[in-house]
Amino acid sequence: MAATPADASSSSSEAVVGGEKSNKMITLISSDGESFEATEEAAKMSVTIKHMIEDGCADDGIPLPNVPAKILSMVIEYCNKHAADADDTNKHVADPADADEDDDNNNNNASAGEKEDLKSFDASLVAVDQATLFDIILAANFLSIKGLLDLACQKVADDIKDKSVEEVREIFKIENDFTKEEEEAVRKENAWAFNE
Amino acid sequence: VGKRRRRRPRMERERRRAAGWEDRISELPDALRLQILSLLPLKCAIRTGALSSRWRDLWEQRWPVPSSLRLRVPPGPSGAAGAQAQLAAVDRRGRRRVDVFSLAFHAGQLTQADLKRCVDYAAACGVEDLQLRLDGGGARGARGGQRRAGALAVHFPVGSPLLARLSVRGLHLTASANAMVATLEVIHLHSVSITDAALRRVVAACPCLRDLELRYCRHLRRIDFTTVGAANLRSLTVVDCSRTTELRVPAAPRLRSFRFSGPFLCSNLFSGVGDSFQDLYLCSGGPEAGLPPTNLPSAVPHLANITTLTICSIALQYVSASLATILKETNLRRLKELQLLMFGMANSNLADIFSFLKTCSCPQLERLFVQLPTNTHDSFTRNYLDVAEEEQPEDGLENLRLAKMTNFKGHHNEMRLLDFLLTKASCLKKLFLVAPKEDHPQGLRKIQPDVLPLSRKAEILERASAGTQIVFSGPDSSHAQPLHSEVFIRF
Repeated sequence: MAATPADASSSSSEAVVGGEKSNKMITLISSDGESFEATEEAAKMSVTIKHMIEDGCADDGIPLPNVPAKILSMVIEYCNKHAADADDTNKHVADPADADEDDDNNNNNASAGEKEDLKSFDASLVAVDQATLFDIILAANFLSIKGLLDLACQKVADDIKDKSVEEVREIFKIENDFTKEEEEAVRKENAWAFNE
Repeated sequence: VGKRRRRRPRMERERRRAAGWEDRISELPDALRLQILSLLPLKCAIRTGALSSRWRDLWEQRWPVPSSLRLRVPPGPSGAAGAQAQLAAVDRRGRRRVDVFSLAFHAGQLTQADLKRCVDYAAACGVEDLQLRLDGGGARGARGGQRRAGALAVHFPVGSPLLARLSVRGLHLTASANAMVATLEVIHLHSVSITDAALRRVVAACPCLRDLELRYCRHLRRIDFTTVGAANLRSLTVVDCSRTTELRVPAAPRLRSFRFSGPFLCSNLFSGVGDSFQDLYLCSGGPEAGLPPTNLPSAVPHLANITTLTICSIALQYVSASLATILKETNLRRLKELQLLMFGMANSNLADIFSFLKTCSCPQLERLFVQLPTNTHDSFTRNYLDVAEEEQPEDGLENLRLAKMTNFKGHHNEMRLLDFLLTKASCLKKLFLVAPKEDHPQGLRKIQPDVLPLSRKAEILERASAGTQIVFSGPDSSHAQPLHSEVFIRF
């Protein structure tokens, strides 16, 4: 192969990627004492955990007193799936000057298919009961996993969208503590939004 | 057994919590609730304000403060100078999301380029409620149909693709064909010069249009939505579009409210409405010399589902004339509130009222409002010719609880109407008699003498039954407002 700059960079980046991808496993301990293992790569999707690893606090396992086991396993599942996706994206991006068109098309098809898989995975992950959904939100917030937090918040927003005030109260068990006059005043302030 | 009873409320709460009955969403940290709110369209975000007290003001903070921009350029030379400073401040704010962008200025203060700059900025910030207002631009087009050279214009579609509410006043509005603004639900045009075709294009672009208001759009000749459809329309208001001779709205099954003020015209609107049509305001816009051909007033007796009706004395005249050809009585059986806007209170006007109440019986009527004319001269004429007068309706006011007569001066026909109410409305609880405003020259305010002499008041009180409370009040009272509290003309 001619030593083109692209080749050189791709081979070197591959080498770098290969080198960085350590198989080190991190132990995460849920609030109820269960231990879970995740690759360092997946665990680092949580900015909170990433900082703890970098600060050297992760050697004996990371206790997560705010996250119950059921939720932690879902979070780890999310991180595993999305870390793999991020890795693949990096690999494809690293070969922009690849002259082999067929290879490129295959890569594109694969990433399109993977995107679909990821979307349906995400959708099924948040298709859970309300309590679990809020637990996921709180866990993703605590662990600073932006993608998961955005995903779960979007699901809640979708449940609120286009529903009447009464319907939203019922779905989320919100108690109406307004007096009749107060509620009328609120509705009047922006009447256009409340008109049916 | 006693102990078990006392513990029940707490057990109930805990059982509910165990069964997942907790309000988890309100317990989320504010930052997370704001994140969720930022994913909603403006309309849904505003609605969360009514969920509970903990949600009341939260939605307004979903974007970095301020989430609404209101630019006001006051009139006068200082205003024009300040305008540029305000525009510069807006630029410094940078491109971030905005919920409401409202710009109000006066003629000569902003150029077309300035206006475009504001509108483009609002669009780039994803504005959902855009309000543009120009005062003093003379855009009503009272004379001639040509747009004045230099008149400021806005081109539709305007604002961002998320636009839900658009309000334009005093500007010229042009529109592209084949646009689509799927979220736009409310359009208010006030003193906007817009052609028939441009209006059609705007309506065609908004399949979700619910509320359309056209005031003083004097370039419109034919409002015709037949080819573009307005399937979602809930509320239509047309005020003083004085050159419009036709209003064609195809099937509008969801139309709830129609308010029309201005010279009456011909329309097929009522043939396309469904059961949800409840609320009608029909006013000719002022006392008129002639009675142009129109089919609007004669449709009123057949609107069986309406609950609230405002009708003027001119419309009553038409209705009276059309009732002569109706053989059987109609029934406005759901009508709860009736407001009469009387431009005159001559014998014929009173006769029109009686004939309306007789022929279109309103057995469920609970509230009656009458705006009387402000003429100081009593227009009663003694009937010397022995012609039979319109008789009072025999029944039909059994459920009337509240009546209010505004600009009450104790004139003869006013007293006759009052008398009728006091005798026939057996359940009347409250009757408000509101004195007219007095126009003093140069705003001189003198101690207002009672328009009604004490003797007249005593006379009225005597006629009332024991259960009726009569309230004499001054012109500024705000008791008992009708649903159609906005009357688009001055009395």
